[in-house]
Amino acid sequence: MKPRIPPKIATWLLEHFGSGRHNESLTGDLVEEYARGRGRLWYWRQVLSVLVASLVRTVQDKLLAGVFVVGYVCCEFAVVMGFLGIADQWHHARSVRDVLSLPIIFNVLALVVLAWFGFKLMSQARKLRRNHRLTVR
Amino acid sequence: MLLFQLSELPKTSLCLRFHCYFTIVEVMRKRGYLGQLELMVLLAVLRAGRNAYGVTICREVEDKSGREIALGSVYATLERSERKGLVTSKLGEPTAERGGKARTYFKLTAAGLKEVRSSHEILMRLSDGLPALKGERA
Repeated sequence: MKPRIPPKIATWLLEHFGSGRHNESLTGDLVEEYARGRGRLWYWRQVLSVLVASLVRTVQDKLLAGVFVVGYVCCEFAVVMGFLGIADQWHHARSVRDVLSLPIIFNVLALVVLAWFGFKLMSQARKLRRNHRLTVR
Repeated sequence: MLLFQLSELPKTSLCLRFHCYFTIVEVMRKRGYLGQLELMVLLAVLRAGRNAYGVTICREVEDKSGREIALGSVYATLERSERKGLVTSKLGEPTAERGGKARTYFKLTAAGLKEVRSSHEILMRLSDGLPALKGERA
């Protein structure tokens, strides 16, 4: 008897976009159940529920990181724009007093704090990732 | 036990105290109550025994609860339990029937069994002697 083949598109979607740790076994389970007589509609429903759950999990995992990256880039942009403004005012400065009134120290401090914060966060993320790898093993 | 250790620490070992506070938070976080689906899935793993993989676990839950349950939900629950250390998984051999995909067999750990027992006991104690649950008027 010819074995029943499940919908190929659904299986492809599951294999490529399912993000669970046991995604391969889950796909196998669905194929097994389909071969035992479950319907196409059932198969599609199961696949869609897995894909929605994977999407929600991915968004939850990455949302905070995404918000932080956008905020960080905005801050960096503001600092760079600040420097450009300072350069422009420097160009038009007529006296030492004009130069001293420029917020150079503030901008340099902001740049240093941002760089330090980014470096700390990066090393912390690397440490967390290493610990997670160790735990999973 | 941890609280007892904490009170015995000398005042100078601030670093150790700091570590202990975090240990307590970690222990408290891990000792959460099991959710309904989590408890059902863990009991199904127990019932299925050596043959506990996605399909058999899902069938056990469906048969006993009378409700259809998505395989994805069962796997999500099992992954969560695995992260908590309540179950372990082992990959089987791939078969042609499953499109060349291997089964993942699940087994309850000692901690998982303890957690299931504890949850079951709490439920039994809470429901014990309630007339409403025996079909009588509350």
